[in-house]
Amino acid sequence: MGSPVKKIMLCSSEKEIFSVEEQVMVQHSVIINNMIEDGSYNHEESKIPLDCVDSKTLKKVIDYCTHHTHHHNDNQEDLEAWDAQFLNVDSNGLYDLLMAANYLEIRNLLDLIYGTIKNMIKGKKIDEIRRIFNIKDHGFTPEEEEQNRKEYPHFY
Amino acid sequence: MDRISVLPEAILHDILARLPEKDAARTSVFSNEWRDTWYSFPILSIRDKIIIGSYSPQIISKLDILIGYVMRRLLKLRDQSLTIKVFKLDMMPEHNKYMSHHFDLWMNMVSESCVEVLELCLLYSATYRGRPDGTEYRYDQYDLPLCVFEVRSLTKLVLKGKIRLNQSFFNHSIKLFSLRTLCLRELLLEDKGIIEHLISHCPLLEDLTVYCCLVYNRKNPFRNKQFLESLFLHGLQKLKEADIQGIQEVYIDAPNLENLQLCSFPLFWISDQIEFRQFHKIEMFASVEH
Repeated sequence: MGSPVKKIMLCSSEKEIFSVEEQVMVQHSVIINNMIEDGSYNHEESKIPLDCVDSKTLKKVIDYCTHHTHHHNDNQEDLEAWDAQFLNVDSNGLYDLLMAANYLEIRNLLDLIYGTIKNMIKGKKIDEIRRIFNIKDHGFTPEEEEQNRKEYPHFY
Repeated sequence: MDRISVLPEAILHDILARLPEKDAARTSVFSNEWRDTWYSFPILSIRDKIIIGSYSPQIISKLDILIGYVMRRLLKLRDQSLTIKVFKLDMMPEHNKYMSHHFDLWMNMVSESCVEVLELCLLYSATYRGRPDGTEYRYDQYDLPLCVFEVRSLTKLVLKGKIRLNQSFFNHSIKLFSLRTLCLRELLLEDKGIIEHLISHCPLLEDLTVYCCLVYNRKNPFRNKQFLESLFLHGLQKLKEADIQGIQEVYIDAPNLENLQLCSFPLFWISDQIEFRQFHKIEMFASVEH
């Protein structure tokens, strides 16, 4: 038996506590890595408060970090399939994940989300993109919208 | 509601920076919020093909749309006191005459804005095969305003194509104290010493590219333009990479040089489908000394 796995406590905006392997978060999150390294996290008492991350999103973020820590030797195809499944969320879910990844500075998750947003735009018509992004009111006056279509017909 | 477009601006700019340029430009017509984000984005890449689409008989009205677009972006950044980090201009040179005073204005605004990367490309693209009727386009050289050489914040400067530097360059102070990367390709020079003079004022230069610059004589403009024949570079302490093509005699004193590519005729001509045998009479001569 090896020594027990070191855990850290993360606290969501709903004050729900999540216990996670320290190594998992240290490897992925620049912020948490810094907290552990500079000693500002006390394993006996500390909880890391993540006031802008709700429980549902935090659970997903932890899933992501855990999977990528334990499966980083899997073949690329499997990892990509897992990532695609992981990011199969609506634009609200994507927004929450992006904010959390940005706050915790999880670079590979950020790259993954940026890539997804890129694909949401690439090669699609403007009306389709507006639907995907849930843009109900584009906020342009009818004149502005007409002028855009006239000046940049190849954008549409 | 659309929560993506109300993300913090820094994140949205990160997203824009990773999109292909055309898709990034298209975000400006998604919605009001996306447009505001686009107009505060400090990376301006102005490519005629992206902004105005294909060239067509209504080209002048399309150029006017492009001019209005660039000015709107520059003014919005200035109104918000935002700097322009990157300014890239990539256009066919055939409308240089019509565009030149707009280019001047843009160069001035960009120079005042502590720009870090400036790229000006007025070349015909590699896939360009001339007009359908086989006639050649006429173009005018664009006289680059010298304010560009006063930008202390500039780290990268790229000048390609139908751009001219005249004699007054020597009377102008060069303040490119931060410049690390310099690329000069197919420029027209009024004096053969202009490039040497420029490079001698870039103390931190690390990466240098000079391709096939032409020299002309203003006193005798009917004499044919000639390729720059020699390049003498002294005391480039930081220089690591150099790629010099189309210059017969090259002398470089750069103790930390790691990579040197040297070719007395332009390699890229070959890829432009000019047959190699046209060059067989050119004497190959290059001297490298340390």
